[in-house]
Amino acid sequence: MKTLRDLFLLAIPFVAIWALIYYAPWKVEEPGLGLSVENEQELGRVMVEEWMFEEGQTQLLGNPTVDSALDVINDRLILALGTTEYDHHIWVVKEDQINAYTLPGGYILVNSGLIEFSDSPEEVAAVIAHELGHVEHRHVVSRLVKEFGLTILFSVLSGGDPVLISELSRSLLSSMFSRKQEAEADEFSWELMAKADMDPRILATFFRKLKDEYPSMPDEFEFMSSHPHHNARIRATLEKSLPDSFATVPLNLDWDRVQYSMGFQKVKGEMQ
Amino acid sequence: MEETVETGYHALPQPDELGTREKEDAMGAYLMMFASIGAGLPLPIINLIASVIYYFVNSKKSRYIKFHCHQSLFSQLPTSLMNAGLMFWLFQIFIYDNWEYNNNFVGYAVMVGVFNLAYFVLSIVGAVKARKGQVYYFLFFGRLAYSHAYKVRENDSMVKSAPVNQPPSM
Repeated sequence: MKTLRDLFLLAIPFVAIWALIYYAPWKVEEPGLGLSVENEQELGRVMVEEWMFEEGQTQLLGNPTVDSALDVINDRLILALGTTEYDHHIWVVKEDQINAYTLPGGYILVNSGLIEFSDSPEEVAAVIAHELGHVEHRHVVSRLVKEFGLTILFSVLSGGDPVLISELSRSLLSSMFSRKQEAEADEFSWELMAKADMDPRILATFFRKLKDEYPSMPDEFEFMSSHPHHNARIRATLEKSLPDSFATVPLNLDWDRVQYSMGFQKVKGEMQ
Repeated sequence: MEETVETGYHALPQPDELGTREKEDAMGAYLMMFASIGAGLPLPIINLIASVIYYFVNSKKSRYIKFHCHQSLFSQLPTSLMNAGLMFWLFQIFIYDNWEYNNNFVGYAVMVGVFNLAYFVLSIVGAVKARKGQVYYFLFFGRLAYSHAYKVRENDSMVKSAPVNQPPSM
């Protein structure tokens, strides 16, 4: 009996310490970013113009049919997004990997592989909405500030050292967002898709399709690979309920034609 | 040592009844935790392994040593588990959360830190007392160790059975 009492006495102060800090009025906050949206946009511009395209790291797909389809998707999303501090740029780049990237300042790159893999424009919209979530929550810049520090970012802005720019860009393309950030982006995607009259659950459908297609989830699926608990993530997206009055308005696009134009472009490229 | 039938526990030895070797072995039970640090391996699991080995080698020597080995080992088990939990949590934060931590983690880390500090201080006190031939009871673990070492039990390996070697009949 006394042994149990001792155990209780021993546990109390330690549990109290944990609880005291857990419920403390002060919270461990994210450090202030210290980089304005304007600076972030300039950083994104420098990275895109001076590294991604200038050094031939990647190139735009340059398919008018795909570009105009993407414009339709973007218009719907941006309209639903409403007021934003960012001037979003969403481009399709020639890359076979099923992926999309977010760069600082609202630059979103969608790989052509992702367009080919998607069965509907709504799937692409859901992925773009997810990436927009990373932009609006400033996840990219917070990752950069954490990894490189403000001094380096400002030195890129003022001077544009090509080595630094290249290093920043490579780091962004190779590192991952945290689980918390991905969850926030999922949440954002859900809200935005619903606001844009598209079924928000399609993001989960897309993830499930990816998982079925690639059970081992290779690392290149940036927006999936940072999630060891992607099942929970899919479940979270599906579990949220939509209001009874919710009705989807399909995107007015001939998706088969868009994908056909990509195939045609590929064959043409190979023949040349 | 004589059994104390009334209490159900064997009598505790007094300092002058204990040999120097016995006292040193008892002290060693607490000092094993520093051995791995001295060897350059400050990993909680190494400490635990060292303590377990020490326990199996020495605990059968006498009840006094057994008590100190038990007390040291019992108090080290939760400490090691908590440290391992902290390492695991930290590893998760590093891999999946880009070093983003919250109050929950800070609370746990502080609690583990305080627990380690208390364990460290108590181990020193326990070692010094053991060297002097005294028993020192940690909260909860002391009572547990005393019960394991001194409780009168059937089939007690430390109770001497009938002598095997007998003189020849003359």
